[in-house]
Amino acid sequence: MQPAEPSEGGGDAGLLRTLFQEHSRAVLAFTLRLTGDRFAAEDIVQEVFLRAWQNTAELREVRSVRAWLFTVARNLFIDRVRAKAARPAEVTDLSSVPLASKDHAEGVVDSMIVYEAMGELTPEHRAVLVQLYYLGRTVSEASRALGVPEGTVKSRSYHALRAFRRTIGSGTKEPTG
Amino acid sequence: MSTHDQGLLAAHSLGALTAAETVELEQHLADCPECQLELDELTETRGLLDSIPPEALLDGAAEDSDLLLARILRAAETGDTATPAEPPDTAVAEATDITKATGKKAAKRRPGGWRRGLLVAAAVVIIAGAFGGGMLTGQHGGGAPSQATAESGTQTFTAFDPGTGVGMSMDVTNGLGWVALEGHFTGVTPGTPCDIYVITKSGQRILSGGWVAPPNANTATISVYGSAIVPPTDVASIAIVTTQGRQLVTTSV
Repeated sequence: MQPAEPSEGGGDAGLLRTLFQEHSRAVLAFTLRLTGDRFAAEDIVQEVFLRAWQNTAELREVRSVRAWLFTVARNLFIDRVRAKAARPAEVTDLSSVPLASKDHAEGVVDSMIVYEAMGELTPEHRAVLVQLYYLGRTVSEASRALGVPEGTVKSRSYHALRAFRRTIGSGTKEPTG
Repeated sequence: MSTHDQGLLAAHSLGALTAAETVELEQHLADCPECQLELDELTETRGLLDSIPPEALLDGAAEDSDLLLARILRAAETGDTATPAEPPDTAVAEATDITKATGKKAAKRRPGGWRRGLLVAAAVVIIAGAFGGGMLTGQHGGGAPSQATAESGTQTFTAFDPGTGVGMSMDVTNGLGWVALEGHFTGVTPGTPCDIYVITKSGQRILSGGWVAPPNANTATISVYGSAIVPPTDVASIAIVTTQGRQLVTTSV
């Protein structure tokens, strides 16, 4: 995954398509897990990409487009949960701030780096992590799904984690904890 | 395991080994501080993955998302963004027509435009599907007999299937040549992908909505929405079917 580069100018359909082609599977899977409902999930996805389209200038500044999209999605979901609880007045300000709420700002800085590192993984490394980590499959199941030997699955999982850690290490300006 | 196997350690840190492999590895770890150190580091790295949603690993466009993209592009072009910055009730202006059409149900609708927005979104999807995708005009291209208006209003149908344990209360609202559905379900196994089918008197099955049962679906009442372009007078029954084809519950109309 290479994050889309929102450099073609704001508000154009081409950019919106590019963002959608690169990120919609991830964002929809995320919102589907949050909502448990395909219609509700797609409704949030629609709004996430519209906001991206409306905030091209802001997207140019972020380290990870995907982190931005996920944060908007999560905030929209929270808005709607709160709206269902008949407290819409409290979320007006939050909804106008696409990035994470301030009380979690520190955590978001860290996760930005994690998102960024994830974006640096090669397709092969990513595919193994999707199988083992995201789908929770065993090595032999992943081997069958990917059509590669079990030894390859194991070694790719090792190199994926090492590459991931290296990228995070180089992306962290100050050592943590 | 007699040698250092970094791949095995990584797979273990990701929880991807079988029980037998885990036992074997743990026996090796007991005598190999070098591997234990490596494992600790890999486990710590895996913990970093946990700090963001696992879906962030996925790539590409969502499956079957052409209509969703078309809807987004259309909304972007028309400025119909339905952003929460606006009061929720103005989010989808078209939805008011549906509310009006429901007559007695109008007062029972939930506050805010979101749910109604979903109903409209569902209708747009079905409309687009019915006319082969492409432009989303939001208009019924034909087959909207005027006699359907005579049936305007909402009726509720209930059913319980003792075989599956699934109960359903389905509100069917008649529109101009189409029906809007609001269903409430109990007893659905969490995680089950379900579809709503409207079955016409001629036996045609029209996919009218779908959802994945949330974690509390077997203990709480779940509300879902759907729609179908079929004259209300042609609706014979409504069935809830898993995407694997298992019928959960059905009701005659």
